Amino acid sequence: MLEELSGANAQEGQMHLFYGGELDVYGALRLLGGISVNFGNDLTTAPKPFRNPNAKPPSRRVKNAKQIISDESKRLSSINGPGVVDKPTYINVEAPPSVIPRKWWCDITGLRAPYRMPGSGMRYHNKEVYEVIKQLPPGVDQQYLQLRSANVVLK
Amino acid sequence: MSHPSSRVQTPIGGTTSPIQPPKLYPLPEPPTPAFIASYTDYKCGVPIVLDLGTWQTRVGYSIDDTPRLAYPTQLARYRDRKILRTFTLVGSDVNLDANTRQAAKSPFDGPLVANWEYLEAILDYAFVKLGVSSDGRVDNPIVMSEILACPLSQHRSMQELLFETYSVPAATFGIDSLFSYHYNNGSTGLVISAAHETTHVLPVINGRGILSQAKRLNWGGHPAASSLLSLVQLKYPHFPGKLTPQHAELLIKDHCYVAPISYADEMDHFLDRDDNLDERDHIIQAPFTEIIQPTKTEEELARIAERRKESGRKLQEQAAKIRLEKLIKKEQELEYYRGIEAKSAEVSQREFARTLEAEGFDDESGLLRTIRNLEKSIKRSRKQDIGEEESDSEPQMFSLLDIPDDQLDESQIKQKRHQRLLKSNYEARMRAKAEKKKEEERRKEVERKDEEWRMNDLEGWIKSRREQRDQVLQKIKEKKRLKEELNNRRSHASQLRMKSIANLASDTPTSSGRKRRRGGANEDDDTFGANDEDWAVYRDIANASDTEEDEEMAETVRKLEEQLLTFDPDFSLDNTLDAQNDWTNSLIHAFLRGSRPFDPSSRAEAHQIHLNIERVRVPEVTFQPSIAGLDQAGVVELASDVVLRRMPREDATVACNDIFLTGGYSLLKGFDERLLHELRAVLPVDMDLTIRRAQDGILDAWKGMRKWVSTKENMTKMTTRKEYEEYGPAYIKEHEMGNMAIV
Repeated sequence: MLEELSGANAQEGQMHLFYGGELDVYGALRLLGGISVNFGNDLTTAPKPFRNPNAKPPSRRVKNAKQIISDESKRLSSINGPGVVDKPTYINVEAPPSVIPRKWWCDITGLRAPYRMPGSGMRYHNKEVYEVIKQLPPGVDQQYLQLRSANVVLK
Repeated sequence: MSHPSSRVQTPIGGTTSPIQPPKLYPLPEPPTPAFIASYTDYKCGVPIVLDLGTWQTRVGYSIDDTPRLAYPTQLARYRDRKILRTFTLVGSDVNLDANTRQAAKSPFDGPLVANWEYLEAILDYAFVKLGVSSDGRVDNPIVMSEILACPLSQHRSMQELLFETYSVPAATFGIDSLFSYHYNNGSTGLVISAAHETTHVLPVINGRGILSQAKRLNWGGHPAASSLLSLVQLKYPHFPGKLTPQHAELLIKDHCYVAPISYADEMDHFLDRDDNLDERDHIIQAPFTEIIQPTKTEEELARIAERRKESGRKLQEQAAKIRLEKLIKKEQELEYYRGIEAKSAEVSQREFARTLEAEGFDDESGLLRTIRNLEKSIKRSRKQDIGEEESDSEPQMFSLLDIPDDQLDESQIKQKRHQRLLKSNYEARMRAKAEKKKEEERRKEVERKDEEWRMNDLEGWIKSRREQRDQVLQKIKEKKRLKEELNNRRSHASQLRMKSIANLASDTPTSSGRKRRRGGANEDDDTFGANDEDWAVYRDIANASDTEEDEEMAETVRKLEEQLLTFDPDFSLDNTLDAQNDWTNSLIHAFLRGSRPFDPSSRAEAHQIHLNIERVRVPEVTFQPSIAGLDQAGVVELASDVVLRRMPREDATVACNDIFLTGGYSLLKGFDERLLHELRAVLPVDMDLTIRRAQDGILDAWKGMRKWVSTKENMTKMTTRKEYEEYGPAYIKEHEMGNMAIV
């Protein structure tokens, strides 16, 4: 059985085959077209003797950045009261808004943009770009604006 | 009066297009990963150095010079339903297959760990590949990187993971950019780290990071890649190939650079059609398959053409015959109705009305209208070709027509009927010919008069021609405007269109509303179609562009321009519509297609991406975050703010002497140059400025961690297992490389 397998595998050009359990090996070779992935790449069955068998994982394991940050700011305000923390925290090392007047660049081309489209607020470089913006399919102007978070968000 | 002179016409746009074939860059693909075998020489007790980055994780022992493993921080889970098994692929193994590559996930959300299960798999992978074989624990102290001002929950979870799941004997955490600075022998300076998710500015004094003066900008290689991907997708909405974030990442690495002086300077002439446009405009060629058309031999082509011509000729003949028959029929009808009309004078009013009713007319106006329409359509069809070949010759003999029927035998009567038909055909044709001739004469007369006018009054003539041209151009513009208005559902044009559609679809269509209002008597007489303009309603409601009419107008403009070119001394080739619309004048063309004409039929060109402004636009966000809609100060503003307002002056002066750049995103060409240029402009003249890059912006953090942990003294700064058990997972043992405890 194993000889057969290694023969088939050599044909596929696979050099490393890691046979980890009593599974239908041919099934595994069919995986994803049977070309590239084999058991050797799989981490699920790879032996991990270094893991502590008695450790139990904490319950909640997924939290997005927004939640993490809001939890952290809650924690911080419970220590010193809001705004009196003088030590560096994730929240207060964040760069402040710029005090330099912002410059405008064409939303389509990236060139200087002295003009602004009434309605959508898109910035544009010259009348040729203006023509392009006018002929954009509906919704595409919002996609351009989304690149600088200036799109209209419906809630 | 100036004498008309002939001009030599040069092909528009032909002179500027370069002859050399363009330089193409292949679309970079992530390399197919080689199988990584596990190490077998497990070194028990030797510290493991783990630089856990959002882009790449680097792992090795502290006795190694370089990390043993460096793999992308990503994983993919794939469930094989046949064998009921879930596969977990980590690092570059994810790229083994298209399915898993698409399902690639990162444990990070921004710079923060969002999914601890994934992170555990990433660490498992590191220890499996290192060949860690100690039982029930990882028997090595761990040095790990951590983000600047790491939230406590993150630190706690990570510490918990290491001490509980892996039961490590000791662990410590530090900020990667500080380690990189440490490796590059820095002691007092300003560290600027541009990494995968964030960019931060962090002063260091005597080897200790001054975290309270640090600032973090939420921009780095990852958001930049997303931004580039969106830009390219919006630039080529119909791009046939598939672009992934990995492509975008590699494109940034290979093609993007920071504008050396300022973005505005770089932009001003970026798309100009000078000799260097080809250098600024990088053409990325995505893979494509050429469709090979089976080529036909000359003979075959000739045969096909001949066949086509033959069948075309036959069709034309047939059509001409049908037209002729119709014309004759119409002529007869017209004659008949004219007879009825003539009767109106002779017979009484009542009798005439009865005749009309019998013919299906409501009143006399109906009859008149029919006659008028017939006249019009006859005139029109006479202008068309109605088959002339045989009839040009001598009129055939119609000998039997003049003999009464009773003097003929049966076969002769048949022949006579045939002759009658032939005769009417012949006559109709002759009439049509005469009409055509008249038309031709009229046209010639108009031409002659026009020429006369031109000879006598060139200025007036030119003026009128220009006016005509302007009128057509105005019409073209108007049409375009109408088309644009149709895009807006609330515009007047759109509403009219909706009205027409609703009217056509309704059970009781009101034909064309205008007419109904005018002639109240004809309420239920649906004359839709009698007037040719009625049919225009279908054209009005069809959204597709009316190419035929557009072409006609363009043709008119071209004719007028030809005349103006010949006779108007002030009208040159540059004034023509074609020249104005030519691609060589188009900024958008340069933006989308570079310096060469675009061939829409070429498969290769359809699979090309022109990176030009994006090459500068994307990296510029680090300096002007407002470009990406980030309400934060740019890196120069942050650095100058730290130096001028947050640090004591003496420290600042020393720190500016060693401004240190590290992180993968800082490897962009021109990053240091631009930083120096802009900082020089805002910092006091007596401050010396030196900017240096890390020896290796990507690996130096790992090397710094290794260097730091190699001293006995620093080993004591680690959190031991005993301390962890005593103080809990939130414990932070502060040291010069790490974050501060806030409890």
